[in-house]
Amino acid sequence: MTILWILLAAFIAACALGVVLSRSPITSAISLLVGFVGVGVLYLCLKAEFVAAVQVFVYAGGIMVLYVIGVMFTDSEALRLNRQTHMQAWPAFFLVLLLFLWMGHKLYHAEYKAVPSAITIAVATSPEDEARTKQALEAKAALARDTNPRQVSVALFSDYLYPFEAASVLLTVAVLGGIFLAKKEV
Amino acid sequence: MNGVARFVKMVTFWELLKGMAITSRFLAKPKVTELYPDVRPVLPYRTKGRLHVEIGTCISCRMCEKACPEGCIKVFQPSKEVFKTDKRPVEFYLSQEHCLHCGLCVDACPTGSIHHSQEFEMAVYNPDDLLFDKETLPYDLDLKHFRWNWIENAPVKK
Amino acid sequence: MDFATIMQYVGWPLIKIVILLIPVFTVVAYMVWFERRLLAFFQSRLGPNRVGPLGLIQPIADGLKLFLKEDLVPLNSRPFLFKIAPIFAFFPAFVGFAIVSWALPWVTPSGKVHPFVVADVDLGILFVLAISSLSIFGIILAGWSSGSKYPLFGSLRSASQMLAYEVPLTLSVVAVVLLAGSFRLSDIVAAQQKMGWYYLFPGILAFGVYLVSAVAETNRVPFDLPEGESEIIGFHTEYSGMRFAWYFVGEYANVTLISVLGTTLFLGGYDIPFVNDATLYAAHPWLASILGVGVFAAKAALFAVFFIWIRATWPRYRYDQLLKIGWVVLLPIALANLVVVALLKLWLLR
Repeated sequence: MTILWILLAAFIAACALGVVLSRSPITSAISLLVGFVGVGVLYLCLKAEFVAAVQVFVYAGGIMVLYVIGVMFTDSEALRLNRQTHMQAWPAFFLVLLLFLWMGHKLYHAEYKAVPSAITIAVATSPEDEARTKQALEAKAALARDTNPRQVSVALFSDYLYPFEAASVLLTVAVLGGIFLAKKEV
Repeated sequence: MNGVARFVKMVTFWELLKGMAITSRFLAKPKVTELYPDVRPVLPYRTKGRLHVEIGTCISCRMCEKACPEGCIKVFQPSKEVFKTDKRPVEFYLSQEHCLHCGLCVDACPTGSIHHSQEFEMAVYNPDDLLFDKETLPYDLDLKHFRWNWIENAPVKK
Repeated sequence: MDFATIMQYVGWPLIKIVILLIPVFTVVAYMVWFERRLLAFFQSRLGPNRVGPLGLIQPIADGLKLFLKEDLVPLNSRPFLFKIAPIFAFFPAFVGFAIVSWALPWVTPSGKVHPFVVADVDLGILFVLAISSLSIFGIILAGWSSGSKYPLFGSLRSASQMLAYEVPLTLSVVAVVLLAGSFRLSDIVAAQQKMGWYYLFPGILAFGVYLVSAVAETNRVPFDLPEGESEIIGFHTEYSGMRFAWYFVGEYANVTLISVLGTTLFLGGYDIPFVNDATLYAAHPWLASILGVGVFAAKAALFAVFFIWIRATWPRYRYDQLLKIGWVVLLPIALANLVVVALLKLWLLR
């Protein structure tokens, strides 16, 4: 599992580098697309199937399409000759480094809840220990009932309701702004 | 009432369904496709097929040769001595490769020896095969069941 | 890792995939034959009936012809993208079949359960939607990498068409998911069996929206602007031979997938109508499973016949009408239907 994770992470990092370093915008867009799918696979490995599907559905299938259409209609030959970096590169690098360190610190000290996996249940269902078997079977039944989409929706509408609503308001504002900008006569 | 009817028509996609009903009627109708090589087509009465020459009644007058706009007919008259008794051509060339099927030679012929047949499958592998001579020209009219209508230049059932 | 583990995670799924893919490929190939024959019958013709009895070998002859044709790559194109673009169109359509539940599971006398599905995942229908949203790249990349302006315009047209109709399609599926309370296709069928009604009736609006956007999503008449077999130049103008055939196969696989999904979502899947499936299943599990697959296929064939029927009947929409139907008509209907279905679920169908 760790090997798979490292491979995936390396793949996604390579895709991200391809986005930034490529001179041709279409290559950037394609590597971004592949990177999104790679992140989706990473979510799958973490047993977050719902998030993986939404990642592929929304980012790869929705947003990237608009990006690629935008890129298709730009003059890629002219862009290729342009200078791709500018003076803000170094400050940006340090800011990103700071963000990265902060996130790493947070993740390192975070507390994780153990989720009963299929393997632990299989180990627990041994004929010797009747009580443990019963407990494990109950856990298995609960796991079966508690599907991934349900977990996500429960989390979204209970613990994270406020950020969720704030994000939706933000998106509505963005949509309205987009319409206002695009439409000449309102 | 009219408005209500229009609304109902719009909601139930009446026009679209009507179209589908019409096409579904065609599903059961007999098909118009002809299964050509298996089922031979019944050709029209006056089909202008390959030219056919009755060498026996031909008098080698070369009217067809003159009438042909493409110059695809070539008639060789017999010698003067032979012509007195036997007027049949020595050789008769017909290049079906150039033939327009215009029928001018048929109109020109005083004896009605040249006429269109019902034969229409004239695809060959070699263009030389389209040059017909005295031997290959005759069209085997089924004389048992047909006779030639010289006025209309078409076979008639007996 | 021992042999049993490898078989469980690699061997059996592979065998299942092969068992599934052979009939799916056959069905997709014969969809072409079926469409041509039926379309001809609608137009008082006979259609291809020369190659083999009833023309049944026609798909093989077509495939052979396309295989033997030269594979042209235009000079002006981006060869790599040009070559991989058909895969994007081809593969999402076939991946979707993995989660379709074909019949009730077959239980062997020794108590082993063999479900008639390759992967009965939690996500179910969402997985199909996510994967099929990638198929749009097959069209965009094909249009762009051809290095010619006609495919580019064609791909732009079809990209906006597919984006426009993906939204109502998803919303109509969401209505069914709301009714069933699960994304899993076997659960959706089970919920319909439990309710005694197919979701065609409580979700009649969703069904209509699904039908229209399914036709648009698969680029078929009357929404076949991306291809426009008769006159419009589409995104695959520069394609020839087998690469063109992949788009063709992808389209028919999409039609099959959409029919199968529609059957599961709205027509009760493998539920045998007018028969109590549970008792039949308890008495003759084998018979129930086989009958289930047959009924499933028959219901899906109804969809296919409908698709061909409308192709034989309706003219093509103009491009602005197409986008208007998508955004202005179908999207509000789908959203309103979602509210109605949610209220239904809340009060009536608990």
